[in-house]
Amino acid sequence: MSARTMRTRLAAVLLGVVVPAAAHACAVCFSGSPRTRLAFFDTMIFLSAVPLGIIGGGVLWLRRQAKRDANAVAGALDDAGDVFPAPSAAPRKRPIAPRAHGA
Amino acid sequence: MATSLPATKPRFPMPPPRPRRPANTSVLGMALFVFTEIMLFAGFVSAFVIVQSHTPPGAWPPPNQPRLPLERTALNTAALLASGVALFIAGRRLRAMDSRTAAWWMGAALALGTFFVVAQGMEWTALLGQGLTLTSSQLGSFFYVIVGTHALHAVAAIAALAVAWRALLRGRLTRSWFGAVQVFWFFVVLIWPALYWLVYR
Repeated sequence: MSARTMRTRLAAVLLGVVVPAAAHACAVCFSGSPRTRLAFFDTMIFLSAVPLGIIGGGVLWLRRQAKRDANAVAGALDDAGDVFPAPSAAPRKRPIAPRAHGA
Repeated sequence: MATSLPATKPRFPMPPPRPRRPANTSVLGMALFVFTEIMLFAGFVSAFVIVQSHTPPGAWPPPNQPRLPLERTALNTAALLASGVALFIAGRRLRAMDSRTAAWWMGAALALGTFFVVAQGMEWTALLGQGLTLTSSQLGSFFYVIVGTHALHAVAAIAALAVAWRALLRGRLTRSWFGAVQVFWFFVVLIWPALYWLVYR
């Protein structure tokens, strides 16, 4: 790329940055009513904040999990202990009183 | 002539295997899936807000279209939120190894979720009869796309919960499986109030 071409492209980019209305970089942003512009602004913030918040929350969750793993006892993490018991096998909360025979 | 090779010690002793936590990978996988789904709904919500902003003040919902049943859907919303609470309690009971009570709460969550989907279906039938269709207006398009996508997720969550419930009754439900189902169910439950407030008001 020649120096002249480079200068021309740089000037075009600068013009677009300094005078965005003249460049019509975003047709919807400059043709709508103030209410529409505000809606675009709000949704832009929303769509930027949601993934950042979720990724941040995910990183915090992974850190917490890693700490828990580091403190865990190796024997307590086997597959056999990973299955919940069936309701029929689970102990009752209140033991059933034995029936009196011969009553 | 047969020769026996002497037993040799490995040149590079391997470290003992790290304890495996299947819950992490399943829940993490489901969380990643839910992340993509949240972004899908965020896109829908943004498009809805932009389209709504194009209409003059007071012209939304469109005057020739039926009003969405705000009060009746509040009951469905309450049922769905209650199902989330029921599954939360079920999770706590499972951690306490009280499968009997957990199975009851999981059944309650399943019943409440099913009630939500059936009631939404009945509401849709009534709205279609009143003339609100996918092509009748922008409200109809957004209503059926946003609420329909949520209903699709709710049906999938009900199916997953039903399978997990059956596995619990047979003593085959794993911690990882339940964790993944719980994440998906909570996503379906917690995203609904936002959609309800946005679309129905």
